Amino acid sequence: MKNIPNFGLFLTLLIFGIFLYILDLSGALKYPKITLSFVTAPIQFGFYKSFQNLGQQFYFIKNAKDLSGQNENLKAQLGQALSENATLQRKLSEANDQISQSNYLDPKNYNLLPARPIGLDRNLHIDKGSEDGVQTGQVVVFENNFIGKVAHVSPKGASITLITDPYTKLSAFSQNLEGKAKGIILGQFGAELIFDKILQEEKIKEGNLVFSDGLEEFIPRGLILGKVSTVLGKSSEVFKQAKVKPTFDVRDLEVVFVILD
Amino acid sequence: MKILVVILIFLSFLQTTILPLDLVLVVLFLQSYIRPERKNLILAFAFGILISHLTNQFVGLYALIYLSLVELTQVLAKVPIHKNLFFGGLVLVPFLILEKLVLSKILIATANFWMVGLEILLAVPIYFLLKLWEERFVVKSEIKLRV
Repeated sequence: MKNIPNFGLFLTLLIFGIFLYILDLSGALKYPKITLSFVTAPIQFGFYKSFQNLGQQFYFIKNAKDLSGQNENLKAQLGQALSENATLQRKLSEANDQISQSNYLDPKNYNLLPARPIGLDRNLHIDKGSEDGVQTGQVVVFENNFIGKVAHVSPKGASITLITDPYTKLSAFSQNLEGKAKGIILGQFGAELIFDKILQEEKIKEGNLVFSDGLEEFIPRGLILGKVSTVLGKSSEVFKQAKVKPTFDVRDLEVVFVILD
Repeated sequence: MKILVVILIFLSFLQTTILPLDLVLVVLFLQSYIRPERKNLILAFAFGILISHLTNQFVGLYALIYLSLVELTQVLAKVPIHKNLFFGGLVLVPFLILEKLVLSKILIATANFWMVGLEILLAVPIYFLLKLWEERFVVKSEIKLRV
């Protein structure tokens, strides 16, 4: 026993501990324990609440981090949805244009290739080329309006000489209730065309539509070239002229159609 | 001593409210291991009673367990190899397992032995803190200043 340190104290406390244990088993310590609980219970509650609040702060930080991640994901999803929406709207618009186009030029008679304008300088550039069957000289239309002729073709694109280009020269006619006027449409720099070589006796008025005559290769008869804005020329001259305004702005188009054959 | 008592009170409330680790036993074990003294037995007994009360167990249950383990520790602290830290760790593991086994037998509950690993991990910084405290801030009785 000498080797065991503080054996006397240990033995005393051990006996006292066993005594307390038996006493509590018998229920004799009930009231002292209740009394002590008045002191310890609020402290325990304080501890519990404090650490609960502390835990909630950590939970908030963790939550904020998670929310930030979710927000980033949602932003990415929103961007994707907006992009998909734009694509779908463009496709819908193209589909509508195709349906509209079929009302003017019968797909049974004309093999039409839809193409998207991808640039505009002097020429209009489209996203379809020789790989899609586009050839030089083919006509580009929108509904029943003449847009221009294919001037240059690359495998994946083509350039269209617009009706307003000075190189454009087409046989055309205008018709109203009083009669018909034949002539040649000449492109001008700017937004207007000149309807030239109209005989003086032929009837033409402002507001008349000018159509293609269909004498040139690839160009169908009856495509709208524009609307007469001014009639020029004196009655003493052999021919008279008229200023013709295209019926739409080519920059507004989202899709055009190449008449393949 | 006062600071140690305050820390033990804090740890008692901590382990009986939110942290289910036997921190009081770890501190008492390490204190007895570093400095085997009479007061350790009194502290073990007193905080055993407090823990019993806070966990709504029979008074004296934890007191008996703590007291026995602290006395055993003080016996082992006399072994020459006791200054080796790994020896202390090796002793603490069976002590903690023993405590959990005894409690599970008496309280008829499942012992959570996973907690032993955490308690051992916590024992390392606690050991060095107690060691630092004992060496730097506690005046030893054998040191007598000559005036």
